[in-house]
Amino acid sequence: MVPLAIILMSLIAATALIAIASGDHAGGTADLSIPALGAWFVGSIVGLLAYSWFRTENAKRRMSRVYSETVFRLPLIALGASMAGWFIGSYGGFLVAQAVARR
Amino acid sequence: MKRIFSIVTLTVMALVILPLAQTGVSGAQSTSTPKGCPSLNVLLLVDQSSSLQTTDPKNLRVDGAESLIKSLSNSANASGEKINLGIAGFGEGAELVGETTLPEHQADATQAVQVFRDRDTDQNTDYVLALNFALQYFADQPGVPASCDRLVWFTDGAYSIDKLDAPGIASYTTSRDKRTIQNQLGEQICGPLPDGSQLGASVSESIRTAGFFIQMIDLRNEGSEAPQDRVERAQTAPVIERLLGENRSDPCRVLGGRVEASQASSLATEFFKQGQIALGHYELDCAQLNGGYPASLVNALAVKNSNADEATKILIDGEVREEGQEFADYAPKSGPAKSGSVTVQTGSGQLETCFADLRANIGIQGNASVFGMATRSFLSYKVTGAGDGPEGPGVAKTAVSIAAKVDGKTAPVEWDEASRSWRVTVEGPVTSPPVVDVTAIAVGWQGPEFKAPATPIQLRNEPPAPQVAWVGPTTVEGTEVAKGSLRVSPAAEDTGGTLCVTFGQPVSSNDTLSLTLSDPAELCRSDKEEFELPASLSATATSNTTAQISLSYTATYTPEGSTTPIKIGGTEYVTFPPVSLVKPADGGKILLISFVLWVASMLLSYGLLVWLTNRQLRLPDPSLYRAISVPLVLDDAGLRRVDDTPLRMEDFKAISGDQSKYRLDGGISMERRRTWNPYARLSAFSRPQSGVLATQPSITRGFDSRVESAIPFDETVWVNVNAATKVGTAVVLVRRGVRAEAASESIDRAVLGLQRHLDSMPKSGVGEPDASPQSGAGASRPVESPFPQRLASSVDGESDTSEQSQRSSSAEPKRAEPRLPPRPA
Repeated sequence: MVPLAIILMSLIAATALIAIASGDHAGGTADLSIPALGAWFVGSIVGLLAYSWFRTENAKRRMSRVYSETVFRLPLIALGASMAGWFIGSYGGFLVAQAVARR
Repeated sequence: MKRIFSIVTLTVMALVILPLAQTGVSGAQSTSTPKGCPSLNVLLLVDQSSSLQTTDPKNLRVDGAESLIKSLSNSANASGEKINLGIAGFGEGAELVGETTLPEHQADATQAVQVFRDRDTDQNTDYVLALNFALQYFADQPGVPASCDRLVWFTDGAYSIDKLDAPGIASYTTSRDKRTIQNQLGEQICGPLPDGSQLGASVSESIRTAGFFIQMIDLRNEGSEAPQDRVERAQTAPVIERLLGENRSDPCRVLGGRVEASQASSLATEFFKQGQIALGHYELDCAQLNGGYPASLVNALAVKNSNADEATKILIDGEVREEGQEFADYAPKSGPAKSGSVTVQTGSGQLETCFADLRANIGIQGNASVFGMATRSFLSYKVTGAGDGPEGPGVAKTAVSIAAKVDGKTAPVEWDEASRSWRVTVEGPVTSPPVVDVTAIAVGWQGPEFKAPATPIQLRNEPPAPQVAWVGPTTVEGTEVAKGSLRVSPAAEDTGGTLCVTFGQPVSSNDTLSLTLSDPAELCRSDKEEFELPASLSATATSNTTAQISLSYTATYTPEGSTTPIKIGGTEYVTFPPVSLVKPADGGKILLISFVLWVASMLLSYGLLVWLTNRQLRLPDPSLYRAISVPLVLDDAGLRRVDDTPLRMEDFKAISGDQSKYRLDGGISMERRRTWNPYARLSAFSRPQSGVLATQPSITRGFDSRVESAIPFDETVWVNVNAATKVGTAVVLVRRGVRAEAASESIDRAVLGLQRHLDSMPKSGVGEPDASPQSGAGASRPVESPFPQRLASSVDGESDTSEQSQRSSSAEPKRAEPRLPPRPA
């Protein structure tokens, strides 16, 4: 559950940071937007690393004596949230790239 | 419950604090003490009656008193001022237990309040004595105005007289009857004085004459009160309510307020608050500090962390200005900062309480005049922090809001972002100069409102000069042309006249930036409403910088029916925000950098996943297992053990190898897998030195030259059979501690299972190439059948007729799909 919680928190944090970055017109100037960089790091790095962790933990659970699939299909939720966070983080990366490309 | 209590406490605090907000606070006086106070006299008067043994058995009032001292000391330290602190107890009598100054003698003060840990045995709770003591104490403090005297009065209950021979009672009454004395409390405090009273005036009248503030902390821990205490509290409550309650017109009312604490654990917070109130600070909604608060407004700020063990930091523009454990106090000695924004940083704790002293100025912008004929005239007011002065940038509307009255009637007010000022509408026409009252309040602050200085508004025969502001983009990318307009806002609308604005030559602080007006000569419009002149910003070279445009203008007004324009105002300047010049982004660079970031994120996560997968593919620690080998024979009866001798525990041996490879008897080895596939199945491969091998449990079905089994495992049996010698070996690997009998049963079960498997699979067998993708490269090598002809004929697919083969193929696959091995019971 810990990696899944990290994935979900990464998604929320990346979304909030992108909202802040967009409000600050990130990428519109040569100034590197810290919120945009944070969104990339949180969404595209932390989120995916947490997903890797989740997968290995899940594989361990599957190989255990008793494995029960929850109603919520946690692997699917983890995959969806990671992908969403990754896309949002990629947009943060795009904003960072825009700022750097103005230099 | 805690939350409800917090809400109730805050409400009570608001009711107490708001009435105190009678005196306006503005200007940049750098002091943390109340306005006009060279220093502050604080008397901490603590109840020491025996009822505290039940209402506050853990002596949390002492912790609270420590909070008060810390709160006062920190604030005094931050502002560089001194606070005279007296510490006294009351009960059967009232006496001073310590007197010191803060902040330099904080430790002495903290030490002095420790005596109250043992002082909870007095039989009386004598409020008349307590208040008379405070009167005398403040009367003995020379050199400080009475308005700078604060009594912080802690009590847990009610006026109670159980010891009639206490010496202090005779000082205010001649009565020796307990009931009479208690019933006379209201008259002694509020008057008129009862028969037998020894006081010259009622206590409340004396306090009003003296002029000090009372801040009462009333611990009403009703769940732990004795029945007698409840009765006495019911008698006392109306008197306290008159003395410090909401009805400020009550003749008994004195300056100050009262807060209730329903549990002893909240005393620390209440004492902290009373300390801040004593300093003249007002509660500020801590949420205001989350997004940054204008530093130019903040003359003093004190915050309390919910986590007492945690560092609390006050920062301006990210730079730590003050830091403390649990509390942080910021009070710049030179007054509020010129600019920046204040934030507070805590760790796991939350900001529990915030108090601030804010200072602001309100000033009228431009002409303080209205045009009498206009239907609407406008006056601009700007609120600035005391730190940056009247000429500073206006404080944003998120931090302050203003209200205006024109001739006593509420007037419309609207925020103008371009000039960061508030526009007050004066409805016309008017025949006499209007009286305009403007007040501002800081959002989320419970302190007094800021009043604009009374500025006489002139009545003019022509409208004031209009205001002009740039409306459009403030960023110019590359050499593009950014189109916008100059918005002309008449200061008086709808007079029937015509307003003309003539612009001068724009001046730019950067040579590459220029402003082009579409109609540079003169723009004339009716003054009915705002109008705009199209304009554009353009740059001749690309750069990343900021530039400022300066554009002057003059205005004329032509009254309705006249042809002669009147010049209004002097040379004015357009409100122009700083313009950012930015280089255009290189599309190729964007793609390249985005791709690098994208790939970096992918590679990092892929790398971690592969690493974690390979870690999981390690074989279990061999020291956890023991193994034994058993000889097998292959004859016409099938596969079986050579003898049925029971296995013995002493025959089990440790596993040779490590987490990469096990070396087992009979030349059998088990090796971990290494993979780049992050989704690889958790399994390991086993190989024989010669012959073929099968494992139970297994992912690979039957015998093969390389077999796959899942990891981790509790128990595994390998069966190695050599076709040439017709002999074989079974190796069983079990966890340490498993009985020999169980291992023996496992071998028998595995041998039997393999035999049955072979018997039931006429089309597949040990000699067949493995087509399963899970079996790996080695699976394509055909292996020799180890079985006698009778068995071999039943497992050798090549000896079947094609018809049989087809039927068998359709009825039963040669290789089962990979599956998880069954777990031993």
